[in-house]
Amino acid sequence: MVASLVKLTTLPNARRAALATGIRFARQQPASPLHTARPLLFKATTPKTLFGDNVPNPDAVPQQQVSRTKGTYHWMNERAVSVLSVPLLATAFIYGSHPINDMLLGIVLPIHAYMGFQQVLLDYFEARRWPVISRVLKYALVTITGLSMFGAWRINTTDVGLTNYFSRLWNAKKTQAGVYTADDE
Amino acid sequence: MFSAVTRTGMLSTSRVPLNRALAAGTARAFIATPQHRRTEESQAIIAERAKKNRPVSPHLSIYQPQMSWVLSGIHRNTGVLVAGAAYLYTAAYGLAPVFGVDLSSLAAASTLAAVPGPVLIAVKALVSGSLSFHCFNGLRHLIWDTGRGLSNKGVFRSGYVVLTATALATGYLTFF
Repeated sequence: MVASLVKLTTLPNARRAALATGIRFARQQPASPLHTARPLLFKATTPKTLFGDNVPNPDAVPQQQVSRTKGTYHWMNERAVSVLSVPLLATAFIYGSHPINDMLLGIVLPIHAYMGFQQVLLDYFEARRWPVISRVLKYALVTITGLSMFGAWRINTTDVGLTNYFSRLWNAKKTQAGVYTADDE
Repeated sequence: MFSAVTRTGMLSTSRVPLNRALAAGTARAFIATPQHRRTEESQAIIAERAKKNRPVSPHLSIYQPQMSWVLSGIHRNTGVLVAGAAYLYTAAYGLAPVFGVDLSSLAAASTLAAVPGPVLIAVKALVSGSLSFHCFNGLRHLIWDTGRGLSNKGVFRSGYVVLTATALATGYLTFF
């Protein structure tokens, strides 16, 4: 009842408005109670019907500033960090310890891990389903990334540097601070 | 669903008052209260609970394990493992002076030297395997990101290359 009233009263208006602005209909739909949501009503919203002959120039409209850390930029940032970590790790494993390389490792790898964990949290702790946990984990991730960078910086400045440090741990059985022991096979 | 639950043996004879049933927090106790069946409120509460316990759609386990997606999953798991361990360790190093723990290279190495050999080898194999796999597969991903090697054949070939390189690197780092 209501639907047919709407149809009777608004359709000719929409048609008249559209015709006035030069829009042509392909063909009028046959009247049917199942087709009350007329596409005709939506067709009228074109730049011309909205603005008449004074359609604004799209270039003149101020664009929304896109964040350099989001969307495709974020994806490219991730790749950039991954690509950066390749020569750093290669240097550490092939050449060995170098103070500049160690410092860079202590910055780039935590960022890489941070971005990776961000993706994991996005997948498994979706904010709508886990409103509190996702928030807690987000800030926990920021905190531990900061702590990790701090720890790496301390290893680099007060100890033997990241490469040598983990090399010593790795070869703990073989060497005790560079001195081979009887345990060495 | 509601009627199905009440019909299939969930109905209890106990007459639990509404407020106590709610305090008990069990849908069963609530449903079992006959005088409160099918009220709008009860339906809303049950719907709310059902929303929180919705089943997960079948996903990974319904697919045949294939190198294309299995390696992708392993890539994430190895990354989380290595990065998580490194995170915890370096963060602990940063906080060590606060708790009066000595994590200097000499102290930590001598602690590790006391760990039984097989345990250490197992840990080293796990860490070096994870790290080398993540590195090699990461290179593979970077190559994919440039649009190369994305054919079925290319994916499998590079997958075998990564697995071979991982095996070699893991063996070398663990035993030499």
